[in-house]
This record gives sequence, structure tokens and C-alpha cells, in this order.
Amino acid sequence: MTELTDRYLFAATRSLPASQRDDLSRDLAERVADTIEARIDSGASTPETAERDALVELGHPASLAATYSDRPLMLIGPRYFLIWKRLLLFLESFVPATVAAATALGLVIAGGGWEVIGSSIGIGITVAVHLAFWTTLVFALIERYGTGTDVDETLGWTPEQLPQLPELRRPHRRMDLIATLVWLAIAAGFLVWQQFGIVWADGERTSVPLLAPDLWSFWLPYLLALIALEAAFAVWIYRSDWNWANALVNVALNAAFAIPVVWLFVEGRLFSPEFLAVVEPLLDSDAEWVLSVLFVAGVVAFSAWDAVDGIVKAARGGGRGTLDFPGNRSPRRTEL
Amino acid sequence: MNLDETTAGHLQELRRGTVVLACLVRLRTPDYGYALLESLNTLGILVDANTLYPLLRRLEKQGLLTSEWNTDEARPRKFYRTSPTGELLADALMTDWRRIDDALGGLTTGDAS
Repeated sequence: MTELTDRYLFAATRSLPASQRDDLSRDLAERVADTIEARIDSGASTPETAERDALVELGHPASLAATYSDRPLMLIGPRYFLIWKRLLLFLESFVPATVAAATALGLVIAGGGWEVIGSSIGIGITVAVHLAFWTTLVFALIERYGTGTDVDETLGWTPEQLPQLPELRRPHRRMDLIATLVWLAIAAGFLVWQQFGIVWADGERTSVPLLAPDLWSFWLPYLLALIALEAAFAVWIYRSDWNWANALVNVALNAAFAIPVVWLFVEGRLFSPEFLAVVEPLLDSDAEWVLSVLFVAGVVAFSAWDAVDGIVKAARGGGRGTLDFPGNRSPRRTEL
Repeated sequence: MNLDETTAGHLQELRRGTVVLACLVRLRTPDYGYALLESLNTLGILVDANTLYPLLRRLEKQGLLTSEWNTDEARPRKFYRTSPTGELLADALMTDWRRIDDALGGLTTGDAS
């Protein structure tokens, strides 16, 4: 045995607790010596090269030591993997986006411009990375040092939590349709009615229109036409179902609403001068700015929500059964 | 994963427990690691040094083997021997092995008929 073997033994055992080091070192020394001897006896190596060849055969000292180790060679083992994954997905699904949105809103209210988009995306990514890191670190520590006796093997699962089979008949679709139509009727009614004064100031109803009367030349009829289109689309969805094409139409309809409204608002053309004259004395400029930001954010969020909702429903395969397995008794299609 | 890897993986799983059984039976006569490796492989119980050496230490930790350093020879060697607990386990494993063998035999003759 020479210095090379000694160095190998040192490298293989140095990460172990001192109490186990000598013991394993002795075992490995025997193994190395026997391997060298065997290589010489079988003629695989010459006596000069046998030691080096034997060490090469044994491989990297750290991985050799790992085969003797009782410690897990994984960050998070099967016992905790599912809980880790579930928790991480749950947190990542909404925390970064929520923080980014809250940051963006705060920055805009504080007077930020377009650069707000970049900084809130940056903050969202930072939050996502931190969440992943700290969650994983905690689980890695539990994996190493946890006793493991307190793990609920079922992940707190009961049969009642099983997802419903995809319902073919979409029990909610009639309700969805009615809700949408009622909502659109209210919106259309509002567009007309606001002309005759719905603004209360000092406890009295004033007769000023809310939206600029100029808009009747094009934009208000446009919005009414859009409402009619939305209604037709809602009926179409009721008759057919969500799919990618319909989701795309839904996105377009929402964009056709949100973009002109925000544009008119930013241009200062949305509300009537009379209405602004009534309101302005009641608000200082800061409050006005905050309300403006909230108005724009509200319009965008409302439209984006509806657009994403359509995409999600399309991705889930609409109201139709998405599971094809023997024993799924939901028919794939209903004929209307 | 190709077919060879799949086959190798299943073979390894099938053999894993039999190496323990073979060690426990073979070490009724004390022996040291390398000699055991050689004799098992000669007998046709194919096992890799990277599997066998750590396995011996683990079995010793579980009290199924006992060990003793033999310093009579030029180099000290650790001789393992099956402990009484190890004997009991070997009997239990062997019984189960025979039962599985019979069952599989029944399966294959069932196939043939």
C-alpha cells in the first residue's frame, strides 16, 4: 500500500463523522489491497500499474463512499416529494402573480410610468425564485434531519376529495347564459340611462351625463353593438361549447372592449366635462390619480379575467368529458 | 430506456434479495469480502463488488452477520460470519424462495397445459 491508496482512503472517508472514519477506512483498505492483488493475479495489470488501475476501477472516492453511506443521495426523497410538489405548485400558482400585481398597482399609484411593467415582472420572478428555494430548502432539511414519524402518508387525503367526473351536460351553462345576458342588459341600460343623469352630488341627483355626449357619434353605439355581439356570443357558447376558436373570439371581444375604453379614458374623452366639473371639487389631485389608476386597472383586470376564463375552459376541453376510460359513463357528446 | 436497460433493471431487482440470502447461507463458514465475491460469482450468483461490500457492512449493522479481524495473514482481513439471527432470516428467506419457485413453476406448467 502506498501514498496513492492512503490519499484515496482519506478522500473517501473525510466527509464521514470521525467515529465511522477509521472503521470504513480499514474496510476500504482491505478492499483496495484485494482488488490490487486480484488484478495482478489475473494479469489485468502489471505490478507497477495495479494500484492505480485498482483505484480507477473503484471509481470516484466520493461515490464509492456514498455506496456505503446510509444518508440519502437525493435532495427530497419519495417520502416528501409529493407534499413538496403540491405545496410548491400551490404557492407558485398565485403568490408571485399577486405580489407582482400589487407592486405594479402600488408603483403606478405612486406615479410610475411604463417601467413599472419591467419592475413588477422582475419582482414576480424574484418572489417565484425565493419561494422555490426556501420551500425546497426546508424540505431538504426535513429529509435529512426529520424523524419522519409524523408524516401523514395519505397527505390528508380522503375519497371525498376526488374530482368530479367531467359533466357532459354542463349543469351551469344555462345559469352562465342567463347571468351573462342579464349583466349585458344592465350594461346596455346603463349606457343609455347615464345620459339622463345618474350622478349624485351632495345628496342630489344632477342631470349631467356621466359619459361624454360626443361619444354618441361613434363610440357609444360601438359599445352597444359590442354588447349585442357579446350576447350573441354567449348564446353561441351555450349552444356549442368552449374550444380554442371560441376562446380566441372571447379574447378579441374583451380586447375590443378594454382597449377603446382605456384609450378614451387616457385621452380624457370618456367622461363628460359636466361630470368632471361636478366631481373635481370633491377630489384632490392625488385622489384623482389613484382613482384613475384603479379605474384602468379595474377595466383591464375585468377583461383579462374573462379572457383567461375562456382560455381555461377551452384548455379543460369545455364542459365535455375529457376522460376517456372504460367505466367513464359520461357520454362524450350530447346532441342538442 | 431501451429494452436492454429495461431487462438489466428487472434482472437486478430480481437478484437483489437473492444476494442477501446467498451471503447468509455462504457465510455459515466465515470468509472475507473478496473471497466471498469470488466464490459467489463462481457459483453463478452474479454480484458486483460495489453491491457486495456495502451489503456486508449493512448486514453486520443489522446484526445478521458478525465480523472479526483476522491478523494471522500478511494483511489484516475482516471475516464475516452469519449470526444466529442471520440463520433465522436465512431459513425464512429460503422457505419463501422455495415457495415462490414452486408458485412460478405452477404458473409455467399452467401455461403449458
